[in-house]
Amino acid sequence: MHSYITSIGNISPQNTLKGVGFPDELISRESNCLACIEPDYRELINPVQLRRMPRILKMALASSQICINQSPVSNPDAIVVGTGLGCLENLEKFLLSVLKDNEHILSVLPFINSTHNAVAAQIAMMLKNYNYNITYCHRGFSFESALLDALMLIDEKEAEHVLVGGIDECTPNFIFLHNYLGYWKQPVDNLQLLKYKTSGTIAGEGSAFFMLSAKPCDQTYARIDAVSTCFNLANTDEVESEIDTFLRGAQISKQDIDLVIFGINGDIYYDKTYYHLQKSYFDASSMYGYYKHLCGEYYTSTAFALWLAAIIIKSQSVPAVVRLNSANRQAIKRVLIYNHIRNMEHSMILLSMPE
Amino acid sequence: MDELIAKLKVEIIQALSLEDVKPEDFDADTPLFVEGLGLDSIDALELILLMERNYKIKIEDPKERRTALANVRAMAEYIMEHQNVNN
Amino acid sequence: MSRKVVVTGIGIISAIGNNADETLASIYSLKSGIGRLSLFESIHNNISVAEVKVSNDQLLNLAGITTEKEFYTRTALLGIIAARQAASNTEHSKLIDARTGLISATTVGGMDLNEQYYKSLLENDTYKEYLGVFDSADSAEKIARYFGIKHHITTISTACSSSANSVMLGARLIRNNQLDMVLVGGTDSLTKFTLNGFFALEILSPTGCRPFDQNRNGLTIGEGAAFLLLEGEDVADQDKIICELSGYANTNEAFHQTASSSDGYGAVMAMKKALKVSGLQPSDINYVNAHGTGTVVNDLSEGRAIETIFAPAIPKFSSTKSFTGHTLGAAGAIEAVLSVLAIKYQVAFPNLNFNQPMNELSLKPQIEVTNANINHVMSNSFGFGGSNTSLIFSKV
Repeated sequence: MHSYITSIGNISPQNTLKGVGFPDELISRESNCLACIEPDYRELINPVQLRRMPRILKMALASSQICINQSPVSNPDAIVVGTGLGCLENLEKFLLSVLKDNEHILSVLPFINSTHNAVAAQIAMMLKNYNYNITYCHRGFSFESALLDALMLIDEKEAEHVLVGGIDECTPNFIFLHNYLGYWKQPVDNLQLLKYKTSGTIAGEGSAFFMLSAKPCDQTYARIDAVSTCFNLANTDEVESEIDTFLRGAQISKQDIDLVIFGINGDIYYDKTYYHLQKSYFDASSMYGYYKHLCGEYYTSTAFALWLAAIIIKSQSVPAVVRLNSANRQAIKRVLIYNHIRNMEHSMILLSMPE
Repeated sequence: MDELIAKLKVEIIQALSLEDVKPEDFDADTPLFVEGLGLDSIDALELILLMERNYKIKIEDPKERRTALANVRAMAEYIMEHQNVNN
Repeated sequence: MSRKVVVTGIGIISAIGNNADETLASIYSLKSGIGRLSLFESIHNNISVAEVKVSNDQLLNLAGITTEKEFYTRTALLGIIAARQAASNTEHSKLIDARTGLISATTVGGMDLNEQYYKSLLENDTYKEYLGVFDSADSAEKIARYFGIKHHITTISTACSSSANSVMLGARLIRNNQLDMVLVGGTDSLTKFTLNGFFALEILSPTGCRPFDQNRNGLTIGEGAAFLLLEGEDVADQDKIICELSGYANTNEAFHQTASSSDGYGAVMAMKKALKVSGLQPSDINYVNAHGTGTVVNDLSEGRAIETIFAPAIPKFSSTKSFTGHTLGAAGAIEAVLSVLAIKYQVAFPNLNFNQPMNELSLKPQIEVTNANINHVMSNSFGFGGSNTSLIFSKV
């Protein structure tokens, strides 16, 4: 099963709004949460529709509209969204109104806007799209589940073009509560993330939408060759075994991978898995990179990583800020994204240059 | 009455997040639903909430709701009628 | 010829029983699970709900959980119980094979614990260990860990059609030879959050839903879980096959955030497509397990859709939500299991609380348990956000 990335819309904590390439100017903040740089939504979405929309819906509609504007396809055959926490801000809002107002005189809008599939549903309404429409809501598997579904739809010939998105928002309450569990570092400069050899990471958010197509076209970024997820692996031996199986299924060897993009997030405990794989598993001549210092940690951050891998393959250049080692490859034909969330959800996405 | 109508317009714009609408963009007799402001059933629920929260008036009967929420004037008249009753 | 998908196991827990046998017994005796709210304090305690008649402690026992080291939401417990039932007939080795998956669904996730501890958590960290169980993935991951499943695990959340979509995804994974076996289903528990949400939407029936009745006045929230074990027919143990999953479809209404269109075109699209996938004609369907929430809007919309697809020969149909309430994320799977039971026992289930057809239509659902030739059953789930899913089960 494979498909081609033929257009992208990415709203993230970096300047990814305008261009189709890597931003010239990087955003560096001293924070434990990277918030998105948002567009003027009125330029992309009908103002009448905007009015009732919470922020996450605006981000989703805007990024999917950017994706569609770039694409020759104006209405995809399916819309598939992955979101780890859904419309979190509205869920918190309604929950607090139930608890604090003691169930009295509650506004219904946050309840409606808290349903996890509100994003996919609003996109369908915006496009008047009556086709297959699904939302996956499973932590670090959310975006990968969406990708797998899209690949299968194309393989089944149920769809020529699928709009796939990964989106999550960060809220002050989420940051506050997960501080109790030691999830976050003290506010740090995100671009210096790996300097701080401490536990915890920085939170982030983002909305990245991709048009996946059955056939390549002039503007194709990359080919998605394979996606895999594995749960609750006991140790790095099991991780290696899973990657072996994954690569075998894709009929390639470790040496064939030109660039590995790791989900390193600055947490010295959880990053051990990635450093082990760099030292003892992957080929030393492969280029290594990372991305969470640019977008922060969130359940669907691999959507940001997919954008990064796609533009790297298209431009054939790896931005210096992404690089982890000094290895070089003549051409960047194959990119592997490997990510895990707290050693529980492990995922792999393999991309290659389109023929 | 005019004061109440002016107040209601501001409250409606706020409650329904009608960011691009100013009070002078519609008048007391502009239909609120379907045409005019083009509000829908979810907006209707928010307006009923507005009546309860700001004016302590609960409109439960569906027919009464349709007439009371037809336009701003109807809302103002309903408030005046029922607030007097409550007093 | 694409691979046949068969059902080899089922599990169900709802307001009318803790397993399939108890569920059937309630249906045969026309005993609804709708009653008074007892799970938590609420100002809406005068509104009927459909609770699973088991406390959380008893659920822990039923789920076979003895550890105190972890926190189990009611949603997770219901899911584990149903999943265990569905997998009870199968060797463990098959379940942990790389070509086995788990597709779950939920709308509320761990909200039952979230709403209990959220206010306190905003003030201090006393209950911080509960934070990990609030989200949608927790129940599926607990089920996966229980069985040792490591691959193809995910959770779908598309409001009322969630677990119907799980069933559909599972079928596609098998048909496309990605998997040989998959546990599919969903779970949702009753929460203050949803009770208040639906109350604010003004679509709750105070006394209990009356699907398709002219005097219907809203839905009744329920809770529960159901799972099915799906396998490729070529690798399944022939003795264990209960029926086939022959058709499925998902479409989107793209109409309104919460309401369906009055002519039911969204529902029509989904049913038409499911029939196409199954290769069946409308006249082949012997029983429709309708979405039938009991709201003014849904039942009219769905009724029109049923007429559009099936007229003049409307098959037997009913909404079993009159027994179980609307179990939200679990509804699709619960009603899928009921559809499987309808085929297994060759029976069409009744629609309680029906007295008078809607003025606009002449449709009358079944009001009695009816023994009949049931070769093909259609099960419909239509959700918020316009997500419409239709499944078709067939006798083998």
